[in-house]
This record gives sequence, C-alpha cells and structure tokens, in this order.
Amino acid sequence: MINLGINRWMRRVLPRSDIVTFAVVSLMSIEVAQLICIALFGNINRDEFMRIRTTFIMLNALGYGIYRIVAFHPAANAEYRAWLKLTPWSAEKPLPAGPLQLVPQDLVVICLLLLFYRPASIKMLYIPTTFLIGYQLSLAIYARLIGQWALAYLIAFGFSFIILFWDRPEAAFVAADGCFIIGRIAVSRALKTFPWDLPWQAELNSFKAINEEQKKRRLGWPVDQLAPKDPERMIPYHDGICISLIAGCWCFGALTQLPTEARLIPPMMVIIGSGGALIAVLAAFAASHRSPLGIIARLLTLRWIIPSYDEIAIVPLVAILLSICTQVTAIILMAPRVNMVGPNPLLGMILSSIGLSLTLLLLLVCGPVLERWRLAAQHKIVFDLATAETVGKADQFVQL
Amino acid sequence: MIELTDVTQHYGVRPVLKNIHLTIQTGQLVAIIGPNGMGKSTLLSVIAGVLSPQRGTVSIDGHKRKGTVEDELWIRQHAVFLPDKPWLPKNRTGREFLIGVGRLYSIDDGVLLDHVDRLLRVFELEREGDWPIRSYSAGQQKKIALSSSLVTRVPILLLDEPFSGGLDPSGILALKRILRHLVDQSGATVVMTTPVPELLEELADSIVILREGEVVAHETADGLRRLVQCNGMLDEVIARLIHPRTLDNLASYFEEGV
Repeated sequence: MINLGINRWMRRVLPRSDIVTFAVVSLMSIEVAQLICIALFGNINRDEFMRIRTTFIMLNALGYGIYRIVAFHPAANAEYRAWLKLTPWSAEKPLPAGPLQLVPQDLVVICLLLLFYRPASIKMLYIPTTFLIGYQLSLAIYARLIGQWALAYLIAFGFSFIILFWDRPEAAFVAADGCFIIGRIAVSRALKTFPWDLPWQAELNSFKAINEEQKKRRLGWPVDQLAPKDPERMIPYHDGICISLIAGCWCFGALTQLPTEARLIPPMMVIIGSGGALIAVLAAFAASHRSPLGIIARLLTLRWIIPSYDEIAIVPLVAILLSICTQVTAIILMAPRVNMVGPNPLLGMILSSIGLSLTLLLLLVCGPVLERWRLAAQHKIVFDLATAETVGKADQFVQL
Repeated sequence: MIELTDVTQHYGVRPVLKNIHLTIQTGQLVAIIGPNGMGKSTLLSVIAGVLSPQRGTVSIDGHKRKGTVEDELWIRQHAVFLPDKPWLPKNRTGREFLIGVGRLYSIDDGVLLDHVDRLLRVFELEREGDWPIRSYSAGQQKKIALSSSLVTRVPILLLDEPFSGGLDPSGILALKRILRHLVDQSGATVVMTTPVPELLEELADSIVILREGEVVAHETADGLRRLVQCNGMLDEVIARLIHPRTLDNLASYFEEGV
C-alpha cells in the first residue's frame, strides 16, 4: 500500500518507466563493470571509473532537467496547449499534466542520483547543478518563445556565473540557484499569461512537421519573391544585443575554466565561425537577389561599386576583420610561453570575449535588414533551376 | 499611372533597353509588342521590380519602384507580375495554390474561396482544381498561373505573354473577356507583352512597339495606322514599324519567283 502510494507520488514527475529503467540499468552497468574488473584484474584505475560514473550521472541529471520542462511546459506541446485552452484551467490551479515548478519528487530523483556518486565530496554538487542547467536552459528557451525575453536572457546571463565558477562546485551551485529563482518567477508569470501568442512553428511538434509546413507555404516564382510581406527583422534588436552580450560572458567564463594550452581554441573557433557567418550572411542575401551587374560588366562599365547592393558585404567584412584582429591579439596575449603563461592571459580572455560580443553584435544587429533590403535595394530577383537546386526547392516546383 | 523615365537596362554589357520613356495611364490595357529578343520581357520585368535598371526610374502612382521600403510595399500590394515561365508548387493542388496566393495578398477568406471557385470554373478546372499541379497539362498550368494573378484582386496586372503557353481557345476567350472586364468595369491597368499582334485590335487600348530596345511608338491601333499611313490589318501596320523591310522583302521574293 505504501509502495503504491510512493509510486503514484513519484509518477507525477517521473518519465516513462522504460526510460527510468534504462537510466537505472546504465548507471548500474558501470558498477557491475567495475566489480567485474576488480574480480578479473584486482587492481583497477578507480579514477577512470569515477570519471565515467560522474559523466553518466551528470548526463542523467541534465536529461532529467530538460525532460522536466519539455514534458510539462504547455509551450512545448501543441496538443496539450490546445486542450488546456479549452479547459477552465487558470494559473492558480495545478497543471493537469504535472507540475512545471520543481517539487519534492525532483529532490528525491536528484538524491537517488547522488547515491551513485562515490566517493562523497563537495563535487557531488555538480549533480544538482547539472540538473538545474538542463531545467533552466530549457525554461529560458520556452520563456523566450512565449515572449518573456528579459527573463529568458537574465537566466542565460546567470549561466555565465555557473561557467565562471565551474571549478568551485559550491559557487557554481549557488549561481545555478540564483538562476533558479529567476526561473521560478518566469514560470509563474508565464502561467499567468496563458494562453500565449506563439509563432506558427510552435504549433507543430516536430522539426519534420515544421519543414513540411515551410514547404507548403512556398508558392513558387514569382509569388514568394514579389508578394507583399511585412518587412520584419528576422532577429529583433533586443535579441541580437542580448545574444551578443551573453555569448561574450559565456566565452569569458569558459576561457577562465580552460587549461592554459586549450585557451587558444575558442579564439580560433571564433575566427572560423566569423568566416562561416560571412558566407552565411552573403548567401542569405544573395541567394535569390543577385547583383544587377556581374563582375565583368562592372569592370567594363566602370561601375565597380553598386552601393545599394554591395552594402550587404560591409558588415560581414567588418565583422570578420574585427574578429581576426581581436582574436589574434587575444591569442598572442594568452599564448603559453616558456613559463606556460602568456604575457597577459586575463587581458587576452577579456579581449577575446569582447571581440566575440562585438562580432556577433555587428552580424545580428547592424547591417541591412534582409526583408527591407529585399524590398528597396537595387538587385536582380532570380529563381532559376540552379538556385532552386541550391536551396533544395527543385523537387517542390514545376516550371511552366 | 505607370511612368518609366530614362530606363536603361544592360545584360552584362549588352544594352537591352535604351533610354525608355513611357507613360501608361491608369485604366488602360497596354500591349508591348516587338520581335523576339528586343526587350519586351525585360521591360515588363523592370516595371515589375524583378530587374533594377542601370539607369532611370519606374514609378507607379507616384511610388518609386525600389525607392523606399514603404513605396515598394505599396507597389507590391497594388501590382502583380506573372512571368511567361513561372514556377508552380507541383505538390499542391490548384485550389490550395490559389488560396495560398490570395492569403498573401490579405484577401478575406470568404471572398477568396468564392473567387477561387469562380476562377476554376471559368478556366474549366473545377475537377482538376483539387489535383496536384504536377498532374496538369501545360495549358492547365498556364490557366492556374493566370488565375493566381487574378485572385490577388490588385488593380495593376503585369502579364508576360499571357496568351501563350498552351492556352486553349476557351482559355484565350476567358482571359480576353476577364482582362477587358477588369479594365472597363474595375478601372484596372493591364500591361502585357505578346509576340503576335492578332489579339490586339479587339483587346488593347494602346500598343507599345519596341524595337532594338527602344520605344518606336506608343499609340492606339488607329494611331499606329496613321503613323505608318496604312489602313490595313494591324499585323501589317505593326510589321511596317517593327520590320520596315519585311514587306519589301516579301514583294521582291514573289517577283523573283515569278
């Protein structure tokens, strides 16, 4: 009877029984493997086993944190949300599918995971911290989706402190708790404002369905290109600014946690990423809106620059130049010398982070707005088979 | 009113349109005619905003094409362009396609569904309207493409060779009557290109003759007759303007043959 009661109580938040079984078996298998190795070889590398076990436990905690939002947040499930709209549910009442806020059952799950952690140490705090990361990260995404952008980015900003203090489990845990408080506010406010006005993508439950719907919405040439559409920014200003700043903060936190010799990797990745962004931005603009004059025609007609068209290249080029300058300088400042320390690693880390922020800021906030540029710039609108194949549309359309 | 001022368009370094000055009054059906490769479709593409001319401007009712975002949006809400070879979504039914286009132009659903029904009926696509477009013949695809322009209910229609592409006689008749009705009853402006002059006498209010990238004449049918001092058929009048030597060549051909 007590068992049944506990089962029922726990089932309010637990995933399906097969998932729980898989998680328990995966954790137990490490213990069994360790016992077999001890029996067979006597002396084993306990540190290696501890690392594997810790990784498994943390992955379970992270997965459980994500699951708690994805499975219970009405914004994550279109059918649940549609049904909830039809019920007399209000924010004061418990959510019918299960609680979105953390409840004592979650503490039980985390404690059970902690039982697998050995030997007991302060590092055990990584388990609840990882759970909170998964929970808060998913929560921040859905908070942004339903329009709580300030709270969403505040949670994301709080993650900078978790990263910054990652080598001190107690401080990282406190930082995660700080995010949790913001998350609690976000959840209670979100539920009070239900039902939400969500983008159409949120009404579909899978990427495949979204992709199919996107295909359905395409109407071919020239309707897609010439129909009057609202020239909205794809990425609103506040999103661009917040993403840029938070990326810089996360970058700084990550650099402080990396070993000296690995600190050169993030700046290099930023440079490579900027190059990729340059190509992506130019492709997004020029895919179906080409220059009114080709390169040879420009040379022969002495119209080397067409300002209204060529403005699309200015921001990505400035961004990549800025990225190269800041990240190369950061690498020089952080590069290990004879004594394994660069001339000024802290300055290098700060410069690298600011460089990343500014690069993203340029790419996301500055420069022409795609939909507005498509309306008012001097270009040649094209939709030929080559373009169609490039953007994967050839199988959807037939040319008269 | 559609106004083109000093429009010059190059493909690479080859000039296709040269210093075009043209004014098309509101509520007229204007046909652009000329030999192949002389810039008819290019001229229509410039008016439609598909091409940006190297020099000159296009303005519609005082709104400059690609001038500002607001101007361009206004034009797009009031003008629709149908190229001679559009790309249609082959996996959607004709009805779905027309409804999708109508919604893009913010047509009220009640009005839209009724209009789609009427368009499918007038172009004899009632049954095929619920089939995927990939199963359509070329003529049926042309009809659905034309219907997509008509379903927008915009007052300015820019149609590139609307009567070609496998349209059957009933389709040609339906389109002629619809275009004339739109111009006469709704005050719509229609600009269309055609390589052949047969339809123009009864259809066009005025005719733009394009030769080697330049406007040779922009007149009514009678105006063109006066211009070349010929009271013959319109195709002969147009031939005199576009190919001044064609009739002489023909005469000499028959003389030599005799």
